[in-house]
Amino acid sequence: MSGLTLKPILGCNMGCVGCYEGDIFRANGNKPSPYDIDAMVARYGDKDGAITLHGGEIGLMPTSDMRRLMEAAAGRSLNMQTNGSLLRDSVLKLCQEFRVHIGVSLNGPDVLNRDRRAAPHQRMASDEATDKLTARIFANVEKARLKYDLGVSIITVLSNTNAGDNSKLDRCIEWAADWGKRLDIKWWRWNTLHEEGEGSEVELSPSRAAEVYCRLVDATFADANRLWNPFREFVGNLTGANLQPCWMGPCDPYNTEAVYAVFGDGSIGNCLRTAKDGVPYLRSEDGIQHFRQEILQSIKFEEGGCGGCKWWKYCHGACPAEAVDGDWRNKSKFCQMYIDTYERISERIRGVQPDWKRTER
Amino acid sequence: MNLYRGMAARNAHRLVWSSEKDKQKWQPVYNAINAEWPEVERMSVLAGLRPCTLQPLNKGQYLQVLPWAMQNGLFVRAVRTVKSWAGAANYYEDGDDFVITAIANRRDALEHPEDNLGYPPCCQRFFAAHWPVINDPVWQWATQTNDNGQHEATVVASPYSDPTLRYANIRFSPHISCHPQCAASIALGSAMGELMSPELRSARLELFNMAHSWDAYKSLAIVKLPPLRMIVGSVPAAERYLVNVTCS
Repeated sequence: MSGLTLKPILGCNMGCVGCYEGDIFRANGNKPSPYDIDAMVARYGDKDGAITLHGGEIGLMPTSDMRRLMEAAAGRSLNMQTNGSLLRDSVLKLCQEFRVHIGVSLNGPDVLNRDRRAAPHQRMASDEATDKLTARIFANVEKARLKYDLGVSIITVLSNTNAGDNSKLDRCIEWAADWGKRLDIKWWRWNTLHEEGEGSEVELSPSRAAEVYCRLVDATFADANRLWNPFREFVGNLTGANLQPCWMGPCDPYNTEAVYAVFGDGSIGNCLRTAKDGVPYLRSEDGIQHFRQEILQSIKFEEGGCGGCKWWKYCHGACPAEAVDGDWRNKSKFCQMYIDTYERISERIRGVQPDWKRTER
Repeated sequence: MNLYRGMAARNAHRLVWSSEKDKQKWQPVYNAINAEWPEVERMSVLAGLRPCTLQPLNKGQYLQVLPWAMQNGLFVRAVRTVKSWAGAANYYEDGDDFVITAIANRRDALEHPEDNLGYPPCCQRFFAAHWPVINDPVWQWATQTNDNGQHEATVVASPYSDPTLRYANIRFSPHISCHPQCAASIALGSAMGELMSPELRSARLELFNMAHSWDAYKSLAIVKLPPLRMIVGSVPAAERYLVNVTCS
């Protein structure tokens, strides 16, 4: 993500296990403060690039307010990131009018989507209600593609619920492949659930996460139309493109380069993946600092750091939000997953990489 | 305390506000507290609370302090010149940016300024027992131990002997006290509080009365108060040490 990320509503109608904003919703009682459209729009000049309507859940916003945010964008590229449950016709029409690309967070069909609970308080959402909501989200995505011809991409968060064994994972892969063919949804992002508190029991173990990512690498390479990330991005990383996704670059959790968040009161913040204690703190005013990377480089790999790791320049300790113990001073708990994935991809592309030495000559 | 051998302590300081409302309320106070502290230290020498203070001054500040000290019968000595640094200094490096200046109310105190800072003897013994291996002995202040088996402590401290917010000069006593309720530090801190502007003294007490925490790991401490957090250089601990503080 780049440009501006609007976060007018720090609350949600769902209560997903592993939601990285869940601690914020718990801290504010899922009662977000009122937003000020004018204050948010006044921030549009802060940065060029796309404007992403984000949340909390942006679908909770009245369509008339969404229209004001979109109109003020004055032709800039617009995205929306949503849980998909509130993609009503009025919103889809608006997205069609303003050519908004929709990103939907969805973890799989029926039981595979059960981390994405149907009520804000996880324990109150029955499996039955959650499955019904999943069916509605599926219908909304199909409508967005088939009736409104909107660009749609999917973020799937991997956990034991949908990737704990290969039969579950293969169902996810089949589902993504089917939507690729039938709905022409090519862009897919496969993230790993990371959770230190309630819900941590569904987090993939580091070794299982590595297996899952390697299996997804193979599935991605099986069809050139599958623009599945981070695997395509990792190919780019290994062949000299700008590092993607954002957490492969050296992220500063107090000044996140990839996410310039605009909150409902017009104040500016960071990627909320980093707000592990439930406080959506403001952006630091001292520019980007690389304390985390300096620490990780100064500690040997065998002692829990990144010193000496051959993949460092493609990873930088990965996302601070998925750091061991939820502490950004540590490297990612999925370190082995990234190493194995880079190994797997580099094996697969070895024969087709340019011979840089020869090219230079 | 389990430390990373070879990992240097950092001179780091970042300030992050919890919300725009907090920033609007506290940033002017925070800046005023920071600006006032060096003056409070000098006034403590003038008032006879301590024989001497050591202050890093840039050349402009040095030229202002020198005539002020002379007019007030104080003695000044340029001890060394050092490089500038970011935030709370855990150490100095030789350079030309700042003059480490001793300001004393007795000429003989300038000979060995470090021995004449007026810190309570119990706190001097405490600090000497840990420095320089432990450059930021807040865990030891809280627990009176270097125990590796324990990693979280909750203490009730006097605001006059609480060093956890000192990185931003939110402090009453000029030193790291030996104990959350060190009587000698409380006496010195209370006396120094009398030299502060009443508004900023109250503001400091308001901040200390908020539950706060000090969380040190891998040469950085995250100090949290409800309206803000500071990221500061601290002990190169190989395990995380967390101190939760309430003041009374």
